[in-house]
Amino acid sequence: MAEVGRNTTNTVAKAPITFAMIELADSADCNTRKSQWLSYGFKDVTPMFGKQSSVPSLNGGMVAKGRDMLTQMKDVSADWYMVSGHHGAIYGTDYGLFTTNGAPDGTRVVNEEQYCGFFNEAYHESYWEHATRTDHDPAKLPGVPANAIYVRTTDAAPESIAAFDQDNPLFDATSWAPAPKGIILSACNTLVYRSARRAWCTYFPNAVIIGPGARIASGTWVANAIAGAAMTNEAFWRDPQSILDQPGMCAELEKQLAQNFPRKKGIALIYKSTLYLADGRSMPADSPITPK
Amino acid sequence: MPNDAEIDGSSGSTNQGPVGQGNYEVQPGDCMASIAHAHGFLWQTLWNLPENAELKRNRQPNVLFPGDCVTIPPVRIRQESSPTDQLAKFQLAGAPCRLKLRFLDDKQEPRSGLAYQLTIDGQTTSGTLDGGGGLDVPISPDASQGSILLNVEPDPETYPLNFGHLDPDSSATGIRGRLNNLGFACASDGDWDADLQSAIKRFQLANDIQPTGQLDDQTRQALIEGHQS
Repeated sequence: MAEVGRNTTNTVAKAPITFAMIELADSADCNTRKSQWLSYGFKDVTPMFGKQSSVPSLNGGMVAKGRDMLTQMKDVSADWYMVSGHHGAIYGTDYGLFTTNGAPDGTRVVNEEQYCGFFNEAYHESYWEHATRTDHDPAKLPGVPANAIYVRTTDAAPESIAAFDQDNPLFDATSWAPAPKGIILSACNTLVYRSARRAWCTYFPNAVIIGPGARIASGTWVANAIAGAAMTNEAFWRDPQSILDQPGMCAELEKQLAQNFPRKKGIALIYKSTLYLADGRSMPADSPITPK
Repeated sequence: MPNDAEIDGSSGSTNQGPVGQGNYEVQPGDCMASIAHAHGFLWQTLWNLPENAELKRNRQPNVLFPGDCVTIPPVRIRQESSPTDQLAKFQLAGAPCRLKLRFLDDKQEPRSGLAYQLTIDGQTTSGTLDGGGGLDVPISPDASQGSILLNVEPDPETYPLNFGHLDPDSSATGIRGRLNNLGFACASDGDWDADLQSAIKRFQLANDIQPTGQLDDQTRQALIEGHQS
């Protein structure tokens, strides 16, 4: 709705759409998304790397620059963010903490684990594979723990059980930045953890958040699911809220995304604190998930 | 304790409340032209009344604020004599109201040459945006709502239009209206709250202004220049 004055000149303009990306593993998903957004004329405002034609993964030699990039990320106020990499519980050994009758209980893990996040390969090979909540001394770990990057997706940053920086620049940014239009999460199990869903909803109550609710085997799964969804045209990226605020449109988007996702129950979305799952269920995002 | 600028989100001089005196309270969608038309006056007649001097000092005739007051005197009846067997022509004095719109793309370039369909009160007209991405067409002073469709391939764009609803730039709703028109979405109603500050920050970032979220003089000026009103 344009509110216009009579007899005065009024300007109706399209605001430039901006995006920023954090890539911690395979760059394929980010590069596909970047390519499409650039084709619409959107602007990559990723600190330090936004002018590059491809999205660098913050691994190996890129880690130091990547840390600088993450620090600057809080200042860019992008309309869209994409975060890609490994995602899971803070330590692989955490999965053993949640059992029922002595056996590992996956449902308890996703509903009760308080600490999860995105991480890069160095973190995966060091802390995630070999550390525990009580023993996370980098000096004892194989791999290159000094290159480890971990970006929490939960509100809690448990210094007492971790030996690495956990700042999520997106969460920090919200203390002053405008709310983004949406966030794409490309990694395993990004929306399956209840504590992560709670954090995303708390920090970004109006954003559409798209991400896997299962493990993914390829860095192109999310990109292909989005590309195959008829709703994800330019108008959607420009103003998803005006589309998703209409009745039934969130469920429709979820349905379209799921059609092109290799795992049946694999991709989910959150909009305005409601979680939409590929099996047709929707529920408050803060609810525990139970097997259907 | 924050200062007033921090409280209201604006560091420039502001005039938040209604102004003026008189027997008519401005409603959303009103401007002097629509008020005068509804009461049988030329808008200049009302605007130049001494009783409306405060309104004139603080407002533009076409951008009033709901709650402003306007003095409207009784209509003077004028009698004209004319022969019964001849056609008598009476010409309404004053110029028609105009709708002036310009459209910019996300690089702030004019969207010139686009075909459009403008619908006002059920009447549809067609045309092409001029070299500046604009159109300038007469409208009835009491036209309240309409829409314009831009024939963009592959997805035509439709913009609903709310005539006369642009509030003064001294008000939060006036700033919201201008930001929304320029693509920096925020709620159309509301005060100087976080939602408005977010939109101001987006506007500041897009215009290379320090993103404070506060409507400082530089930001206000850029906003008015960007909107052209």
